Amino acid sequence: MSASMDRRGLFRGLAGTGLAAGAAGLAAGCAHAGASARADEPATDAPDGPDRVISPYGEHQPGIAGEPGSAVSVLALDVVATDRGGLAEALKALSSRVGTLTQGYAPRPTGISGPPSDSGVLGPDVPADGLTVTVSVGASLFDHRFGLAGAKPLRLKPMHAFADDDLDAARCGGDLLLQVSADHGDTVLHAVRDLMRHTRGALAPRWRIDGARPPSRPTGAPRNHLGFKDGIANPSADDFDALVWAGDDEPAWTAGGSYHVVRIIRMLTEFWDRVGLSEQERMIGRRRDSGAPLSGSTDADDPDYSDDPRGSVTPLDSHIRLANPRTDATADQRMLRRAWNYDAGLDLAGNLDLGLVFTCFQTDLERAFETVQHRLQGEPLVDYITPVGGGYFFALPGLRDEQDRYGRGLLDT
Amino acid sequence: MPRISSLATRVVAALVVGTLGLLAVLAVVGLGPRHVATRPARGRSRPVVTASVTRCGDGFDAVATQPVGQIDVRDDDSRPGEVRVVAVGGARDGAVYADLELLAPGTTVPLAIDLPTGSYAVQCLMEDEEPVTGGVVDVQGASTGTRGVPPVDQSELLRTTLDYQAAVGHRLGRVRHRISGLVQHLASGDLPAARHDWIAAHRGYQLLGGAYGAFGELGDAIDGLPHGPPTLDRHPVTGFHRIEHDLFTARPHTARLIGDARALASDLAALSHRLRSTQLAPLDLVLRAHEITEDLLQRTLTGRDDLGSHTALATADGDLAATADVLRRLRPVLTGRVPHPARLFTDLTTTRALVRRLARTPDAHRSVAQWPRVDREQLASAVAGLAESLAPLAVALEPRRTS
Ligand code: HEM
Repeated sequence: MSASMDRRGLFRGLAGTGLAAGAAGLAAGCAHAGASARADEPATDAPDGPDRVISPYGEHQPGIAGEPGSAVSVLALDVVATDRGGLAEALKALSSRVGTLTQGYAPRPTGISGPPSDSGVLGPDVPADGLTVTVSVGASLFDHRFGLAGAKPLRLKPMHAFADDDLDAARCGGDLLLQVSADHGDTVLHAVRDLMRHTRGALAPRWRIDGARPPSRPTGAPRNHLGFKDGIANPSADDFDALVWAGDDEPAWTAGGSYHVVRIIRMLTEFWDRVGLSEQERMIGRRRDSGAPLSGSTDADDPDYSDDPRGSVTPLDSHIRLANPRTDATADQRMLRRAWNYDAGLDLAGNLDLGLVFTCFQTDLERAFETVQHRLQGEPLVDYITPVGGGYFFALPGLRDEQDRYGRGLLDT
Repeated sequence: MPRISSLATRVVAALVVGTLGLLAVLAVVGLGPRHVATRPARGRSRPVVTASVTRCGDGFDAVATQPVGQIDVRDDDSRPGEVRVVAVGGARDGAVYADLELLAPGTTVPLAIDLPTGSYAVQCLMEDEEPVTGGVVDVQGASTGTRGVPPVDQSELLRTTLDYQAAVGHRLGRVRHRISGLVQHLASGDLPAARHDWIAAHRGYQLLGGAYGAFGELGDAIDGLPHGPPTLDRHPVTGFHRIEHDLFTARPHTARLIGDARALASDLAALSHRLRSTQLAPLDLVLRAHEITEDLLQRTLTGRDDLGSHTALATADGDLAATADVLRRLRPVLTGRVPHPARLFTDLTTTRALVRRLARTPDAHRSVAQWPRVDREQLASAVAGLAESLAPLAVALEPRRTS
């Protein structure tokens, strides 16, 4: 649902009409509100339409439920500061910069007092360009350093290696995670540079992976490097309270937040391209060209396994059937997935280093992601994919307003 | 050559607010969300301001009502020149709030301004002409805006630069002495002593602050790094790092090393001669304030300059000592030009203490890649934070024409 919506609709200000279903409705709402707030200020247009402004303020961080931007950079950082005050300063700087960058602004001239305050890569006026920054915290933040051990979200822990993983320590974990997304890659990188600059000395960059969501080919959800549409099925906004946002049993400060999983998953595309089409489709459980479930005719049809107990239509070990068997018993294991394709050059053997920046948000890390990941263990698809990095994080509650800062409730504990 | 590389570095590393300590300044500096989009909307015509000897500042009165945004500066003169917006009267009299250099005759160039409440005038510094100041304009702006900085005149830094140059010459003498020791120890086959000489001489060389090609080709011959793998490198490394590569191995080839050490000694002698016969420009001193730390970040903390000695911490210690020396010498001109000069010194002291702490761990004998991640993060962040807060110095203290 969410992925099949046309982002151009947002540009034209048609958002919110007929799009209420799914996450898209939320995204549209934000974009619309932001755009009208700036109606008298059309200073900075994107090359392909009016600027898309997504307000960073609200109960939840807008990068979670909103329509994902076509470019992402996921940046893990460690806190260098050794006390709570230092952590608070860094989070305050992040809050202030996110507030500025996500609304578009004209960087202020510095005269001869120092180098320019902005990198200039987006020109003299910085557009908002659909920028969202999702700020999350890792389990390591709750060690002895900042006296936060007692405030840890109940289910937050370091990510361990799953059976089919080949994790690289250099691309795992982190005290903090920034998931920066926008309508263009240059806007994402501009924000990353700005945020790093304003926290330099306080936050040490740990690992980074960039990704892209290609345009619809020809319609619907964008395709991943395996040629399949990705992001077709996701819970609808009605279910977010039950499936995405932190539950009542969590520490009070977490309200409005969400467990945030990142997996960097390498895809062996040369190998995949040597596999027959029907075998590919059996592995995924959907048609490659249309994205239709094997049980349906178009990608708008929901997969239906009710008359297929033996997997004669949709194999029992196909990816989508294992990931979401669509039974009452597994309904609460669903998660909100947000994925981008990455392209990192070549490996030693001359194979393309391509893959997926898989992210998902959920109320309960174990009930959703871990349960599903365990069920996917040994699925036929594992021969063509290898998770190499990532981590478990908790996406902080949204900023209430311009005065608010990330981690306010957490640091007040 | 050195200028080009250092300019490039300044652009890449150009940073305003840095270390942890300075994070607190954010709100004051005014980067917060309340200052969003203060630029006048498109369509409103930009004031055109004249730069010339005879009509300097014509048109500037329009900023009385548009103190934030862009003005178009038009060089109506037959000469190229520089244009500044300066405060007139009050505590900041003479401070520069906007500056446009390299203005060519007949061209119009936009200049961004953000003037806090006060009185301002345009100053035109046309080539070969006395500076001319235009009419004064009172601006009712915000209480914040660009921070005005009184320009530093070349003459204010002449004495300091001469003293600095003398100190560098003195330290170079000690490095040369160490290198003669190295030659002797190699000749007598005392490898541990030779390695000790190398480490001391190399750290001593960092104290000269020869970052970013400040010493030109001679500096490259002395402390340059390989340009690529041997098959691609048409100018194989010489100097310190060639010796390092061959000395810190299990069975060094002493005869060849002696030749290399003698070559280094003669390059150091040539540098010594050059230091005596040419005069360092004050700008060089100012640039070193942050370029030594940039060098440390790019060459040493990435492990790039480690060809076997694993002495990154000794190098860092030398680099930070050299930065501290430059900063101490610049102290008199820092006040009123850099927001928190005292903080720079504290940050530098903290970072040096961190280096000394790490030097007491096994990191002192390991390549940077082998350090525990937390050590690498701590030191790289501290130095990067320092580079951020030192970067404004190079702009604010750059010697400028004042007459
Ligand atoms: C490179 C690795 C992966 C690839 C290539 C991949 C591919 C796909 C594709 C093509 C679909 C069908 C399109 C759609 O409904 O969005 C899908 C659905 C799904 N995938 Fe993955 N996926 C990968 C990793 C994962 C991981 C790590 C998980 C979670 C542990 C996961 C969970 C799901 C879920 C829950 C669905 C939706 C099933 C449904 O509701 O029908 N996937 N995936």
